[in-house]
Amino acid sequence: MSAITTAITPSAPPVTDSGVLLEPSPSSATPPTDPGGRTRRRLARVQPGLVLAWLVVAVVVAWAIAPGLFTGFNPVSGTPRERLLPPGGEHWLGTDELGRDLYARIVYGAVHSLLGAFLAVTVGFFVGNLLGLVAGSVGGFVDAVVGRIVDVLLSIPGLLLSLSIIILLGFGTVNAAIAVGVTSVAAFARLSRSEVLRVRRSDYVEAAFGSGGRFWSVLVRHVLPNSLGPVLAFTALQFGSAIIAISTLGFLGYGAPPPTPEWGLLIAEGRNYIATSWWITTFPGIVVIIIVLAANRISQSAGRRSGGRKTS
Amino acid sequence: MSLLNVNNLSVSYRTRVGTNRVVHDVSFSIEPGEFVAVVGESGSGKSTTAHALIGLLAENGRVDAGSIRLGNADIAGWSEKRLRTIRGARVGLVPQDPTSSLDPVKTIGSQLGEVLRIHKRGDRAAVRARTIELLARVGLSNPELRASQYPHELSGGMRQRVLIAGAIALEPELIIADEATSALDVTVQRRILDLIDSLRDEFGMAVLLVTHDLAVAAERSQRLLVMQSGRIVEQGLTAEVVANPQSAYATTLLGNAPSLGPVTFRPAPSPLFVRDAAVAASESPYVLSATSLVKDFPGGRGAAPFRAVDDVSFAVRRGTTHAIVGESGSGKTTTARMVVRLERPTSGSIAIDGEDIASLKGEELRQLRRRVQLVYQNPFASLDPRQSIADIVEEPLRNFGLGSRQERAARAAELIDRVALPSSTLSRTPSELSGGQRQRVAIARALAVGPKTLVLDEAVSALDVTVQAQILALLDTLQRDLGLTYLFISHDLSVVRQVSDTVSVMSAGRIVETGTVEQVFLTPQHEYTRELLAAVPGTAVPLTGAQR
Repeated sequence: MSAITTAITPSAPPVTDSGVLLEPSPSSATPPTDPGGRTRRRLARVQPGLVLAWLVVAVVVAWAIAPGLFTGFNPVSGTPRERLLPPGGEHWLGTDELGRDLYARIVYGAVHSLLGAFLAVTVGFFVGNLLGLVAGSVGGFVDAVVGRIVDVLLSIPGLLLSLSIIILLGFGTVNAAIAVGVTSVAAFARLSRSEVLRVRRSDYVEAAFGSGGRFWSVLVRHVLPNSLGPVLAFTALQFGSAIIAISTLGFLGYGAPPPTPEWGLLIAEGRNYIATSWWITTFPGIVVIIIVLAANRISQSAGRRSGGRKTS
Repeated sequence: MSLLNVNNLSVSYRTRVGTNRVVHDVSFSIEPGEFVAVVGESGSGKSTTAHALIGLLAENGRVDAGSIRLGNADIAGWSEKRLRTIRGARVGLVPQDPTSSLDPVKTIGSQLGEVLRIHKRGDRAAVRARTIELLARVGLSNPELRASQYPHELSGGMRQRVLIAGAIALEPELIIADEATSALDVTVQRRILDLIDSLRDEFGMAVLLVTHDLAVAAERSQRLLVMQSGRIVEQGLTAEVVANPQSAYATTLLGNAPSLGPVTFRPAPSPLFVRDAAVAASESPYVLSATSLVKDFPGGRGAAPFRAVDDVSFAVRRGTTHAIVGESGSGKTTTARMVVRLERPTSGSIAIDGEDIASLKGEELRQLRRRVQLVYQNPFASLDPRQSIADIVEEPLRNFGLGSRQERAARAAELIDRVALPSSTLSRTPSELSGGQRQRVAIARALAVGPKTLVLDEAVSALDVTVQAQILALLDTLQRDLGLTYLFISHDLSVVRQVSDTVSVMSAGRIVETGTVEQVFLTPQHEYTRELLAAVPGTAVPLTGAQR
């Protein structure tokens, strides 16, 4: 999280030596050169890493939407004759102990991990952001109460907290996702509150109140949009961690029940065969790692971009 | 022989989209002991030129061509290591910002001693003795104490003196002062400039002063270089350039500098419209009046509250401009913020059109915004970077539910036209506009709901002098056309003299003198006012330029 906050620290605004740009005569319609501008940023940077990251996400999303297009095998029922086959021409990533195609299971598992992560991030984003917004803008007693709730949430280890929530709610993919979401509420609330406080102090928010704006309309029109950039970057990062967290719960048996091809469950099931059939645990593991790295890369660029826009 | 000879110097910055040349073919020289000033607006390349002289360009900066001869050596191509032997020793630099130029975790003494230690001037005791001597030399009282203090314990002016002490520590032949006094209050600025002058006399150093303030340059320098867009457009003896500028740009610049023009005051305001005499008599001429305003801010940890504004009273006639002048910390901005009720007065009353607004709250306070509006100092911070200009200008109308969508759009277009911006501006965002254009947008926003009173809090202070002149002219036109009343907050006396009808001088939270601008400027009664007026740069220009 500290890495994120450094990445989003706004750079110095692009102004010249004593702080102001020369004014062109009002008749000339061309804007002054715009060093922090969006057009230039877009033209100047084509980053291969970022393109790759988006590509990874696109493929995984496609797996989730239409898994049938990527594999002809059935992810749930296998052929007992073909059990524990190593990676090869027919079964690209090999088969598991029940003769199910591993590649098919990974492809069909995408929807579980992705939806779970999406749900988890949505819960964290909305609840956390709402808490942060209210705490940061109302201040006083409300801020103190929200602050203490966040402190309590942060003081409980994430995994323990989600396990407790699952035990309260019951097992299952959706409940695991909600549990993971709740653990990220605190981090979202903290980040959002600090951003809201920063924007709340700015001249343009005061000017909005000064021109007759009511509390909620100023909040929605100015404070929320201007505080959202870093939070969105954090959302992309959380998406990666949510996939890991959900896989962890699946691995421990708190997520989707077998034979659902959920990634964490795949890794768990392969454990017993790791000495003889390494591929059953390795490939789902690699897929999780790649998608998490891609999410981090996207988050990083989103953070930089929002940092630039705030000051431009 | 000249001390410094710069020939055809060109400097460029590399950016992501290519190289951007900011200094073109600049040539000038400085004689030993001479006081040379470089003036120009932001972006004119004056600071870049000064930094290039001692190889202190930003990392992406590069000297493309030209020579910089210091004595006999061309230092343009020197390595960092060789340059270090002349920095401080032969050329001293006084940086722009006294707040960020000192290390906050080291004492003044150890920072100043560092210069001496780096250049190996004596042992520990000698360095300490010399440090104290230098602090005394730049006019700091109690130098032993100062040496053991940290930068935050010193005022801005004191910090600037420390920086000057650092620059003269090794008695260099040339001192480069980059906007060294721009961040200071005018009385402090004068003392610092006096100090530089006397040090120059004493050590025979040459001074290169980089400044945007033409008045300072005209008053202090012997020779003047005028820069525009990276080129020297005019150079010559200061007195000659000021009296008889050759280039069009220098003429404009001199014409726009408020303190260099002839001493003129505003003509008395003509009645806005002819009305029934009985109506006029029954109505108070004062639109805005404040009586015994007090504002206390709570002190920290049991300390006594800090009284920022202390028993302030003034009144502003309809359609006129009342200025409040003072230095930083005088309470002028707090007063302005109380008038628009962004701060709540601790006691006292504020009347707008005869109605006391000091204790309004809730919906009544919101309705007050239709009658009085504030324009902020910094147009880079007062506009929401995510909104379009149309949204910004329409926002007050939306807040008060005025007009339909089309009517609001039409009103925004009308306002943008009023502040002399092209209508294409409406679809832009603030980042695409310059500082002056942004300030015009801020004024348009303030006018949207048709208030009769505007409070301008240092509204032109962040702008270059030509842009400043344009905004002041705009404000004047708006006042005549719309019958506006202004409360004009400023630290700049020459601007105040130009634009206001009446003036109050504030010092340490109190108004020390009030009157018409002519009274206060020509026959100041209070000691502080006299001091303030004497410190305005450029007041002695036509006489002193040549003799210095």
